[in-house]
Amino acid sequence: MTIQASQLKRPGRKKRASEHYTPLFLLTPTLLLLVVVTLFPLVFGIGVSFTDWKLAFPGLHFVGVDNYTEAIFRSPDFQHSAAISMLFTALAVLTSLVIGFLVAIVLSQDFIGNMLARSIILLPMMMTPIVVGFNFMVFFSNDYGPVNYILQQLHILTRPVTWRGEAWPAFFAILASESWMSTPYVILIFIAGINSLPTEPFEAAEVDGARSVQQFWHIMLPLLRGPLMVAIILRIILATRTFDTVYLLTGGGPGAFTELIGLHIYRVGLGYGQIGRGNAVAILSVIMSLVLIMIALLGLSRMFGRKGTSGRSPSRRSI
Amino acid sequence: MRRRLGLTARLALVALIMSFLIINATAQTKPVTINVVTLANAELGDVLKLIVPKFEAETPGIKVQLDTLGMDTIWNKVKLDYQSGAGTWDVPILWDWWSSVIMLGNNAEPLNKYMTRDGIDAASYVPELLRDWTWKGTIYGIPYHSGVYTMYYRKDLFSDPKEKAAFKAKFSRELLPPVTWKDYMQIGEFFTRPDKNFYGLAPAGKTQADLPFIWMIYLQSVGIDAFGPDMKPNFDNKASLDFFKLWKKSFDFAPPGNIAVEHFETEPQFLNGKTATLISWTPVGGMIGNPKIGTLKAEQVATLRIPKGDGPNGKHSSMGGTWGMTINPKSKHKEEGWTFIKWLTLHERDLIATNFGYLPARKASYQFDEVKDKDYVQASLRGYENMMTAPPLAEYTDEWLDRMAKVVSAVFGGSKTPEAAAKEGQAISVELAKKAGVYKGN
Repeated sequence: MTIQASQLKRPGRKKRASEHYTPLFLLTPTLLLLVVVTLFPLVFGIGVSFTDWKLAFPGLHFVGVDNYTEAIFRSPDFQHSAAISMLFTALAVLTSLVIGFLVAIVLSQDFIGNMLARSIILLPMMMTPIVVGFNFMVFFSNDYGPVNYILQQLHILTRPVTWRGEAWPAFFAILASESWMSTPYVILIFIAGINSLPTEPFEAAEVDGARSVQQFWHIMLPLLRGPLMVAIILRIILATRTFDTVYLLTGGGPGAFTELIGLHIYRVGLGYGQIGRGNAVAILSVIMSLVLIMIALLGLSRMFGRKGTSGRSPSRRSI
Repeated sequence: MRRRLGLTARLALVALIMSFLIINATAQTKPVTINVVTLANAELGDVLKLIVPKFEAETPGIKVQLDTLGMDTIWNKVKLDYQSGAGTWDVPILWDWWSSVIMLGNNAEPLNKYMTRDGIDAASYVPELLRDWTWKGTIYGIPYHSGVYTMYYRKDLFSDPKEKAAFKAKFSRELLPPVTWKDYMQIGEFFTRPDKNFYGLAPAGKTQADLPFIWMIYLQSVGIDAFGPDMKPNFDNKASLDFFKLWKKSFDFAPPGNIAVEHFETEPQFLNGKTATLISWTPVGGMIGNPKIGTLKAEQVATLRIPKGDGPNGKHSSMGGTWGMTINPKSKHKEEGWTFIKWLTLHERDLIATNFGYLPARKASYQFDEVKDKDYVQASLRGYENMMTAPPLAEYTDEWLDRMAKVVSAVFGGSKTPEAAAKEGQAISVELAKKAGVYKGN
């Protein structure tokens, strides 16, 4: 006897209990793993941030928002760390977007050696941050570093700069090392984005007489809004997580000038043994990252408008 | 068939019982392994690697698993071990600036009962070194190796007639080892010859614990106690401004880039003949003449006390510290750990270790010719006078060291004025002294 299709999907047919719970049951191991690995540490960390827990010391007391108010209002080190981290993140994102986009445009073209060039460009992201830190220590060395030597040969510098010992040069050194390591991620995202762009809008624009710059600004960029958003978010996350290179290159110095938020959390939590305060600073850094991401996304919306267009028509001068 | 099965079963049972007995017997005679951790350097880690086989040969029932870690990781890892209660290391050998956390956090076994039982007299130790391991009469650590800040200089250059003549022509006085900070700066200026890649001084400017040490040493050298009798911090004063100006100027007479180097990086500079002087810990003395570390020979180097202030209150000051042997309260082998510690306290160990820059912690060890004839050992004995150790800031010591180091380094890097740094140093010290409960004033 054949079963008619209409019998299988009778309206009003009640689902069996197993049909309700089977998907949930199958998802449970994954959900449990997610909870343990992500949700539990986050909730635990938030809870600890309201205590005075000290490493290797007995006792744990609830202190309310003391750790947060101390960091925000009474800790010049945190205030400076937050400010310099935000500046660092903004500059790191900008540097990577500009350089990454230009390189992606080049690598999106067909030319001999394109695959080799792509492989070489992506090497920095495969290196461990500690190795990058060591290499840049050598690059920026006062005695034998190539950076000072080349800049002096080009007469850009009249005397060697102590890159790791002076405030702004040290900042630039860690910006350079971090950008060098993270820009390949942006390049990858843009290559994928550019390669997936439809050709029709460009062909139509060319027929309409739009110049290259106009095509870039009014067609390519709005169409790349998605990859741009991903690149910005990823870069902000990578930049705010910077630890290894700054630890090695400057140690946060001179003074605490280049002590980015990641290093500051490490110093307070582990170095000082103030676990409660360290967690509070970590939560504040997450909030800081979210604020930066929101600002970036807001900027993108304003730039491209809601529908992903620039809101301006291409010039019709050439028609 | 039944008979065969019964025989097989009986044989299997006998084999099982025999295996159990053999395993049990093996477990009982297997040596106990104790885990020891200390600093990875010549006078601690390397010395212990050398003498541990001797201990194992003399005490067959105990094996030692020695872990040596860098200065930037050892304390963090040990603290995490204390926190977890895992008892990874039975005998941590740690620096006395961390002793507050170790003692007040109940992270070390009291040792008085072991010492009394085995006849180890606390009075046999240099009191300044045992002090930091004692809390309200209870001893938590036995000092093993100590260090004092001292000054090294190139005595061959100071006795060179050409150098003497040139110095006299420039400064109208004899070329002598520096006694005051003024002498120190003049010698730095005189010996700085960039065209010959040779410099007078070897300060280090990177953010590190040695920076607040130097600040405290300078203050004491001009007659000011960094922490007064009631633990009142004294950092916001003219002497601090003088310190910042002098020390910042000293980088003009140092190899380029020293403003960004760590303290330990200045030692090879001196040991390889790049600088005329070095202010550093006494174990550097044990490295002189070692061709693997530097080119200088022992006869080229002498030690003297760190310069004092120029005024009538000037006195030679120093900073000292000791590495103490402790027993982890979570250790499952406390007796074996104590056996190792007791063995290390014997004078014979000191005789080997002083060849590596190690400094004995027991007074009697300084009577041995092999120990007292070493120049750096004599320098240490001089350094014990007026020696400062860690301010008693309990669990805030690490935070004080780090924040004060940042203040000093910021002046060298140009991002803070000496006046602002002095005020900030004072504020940090008052804040943390109050939090530690050792200072009640404003």
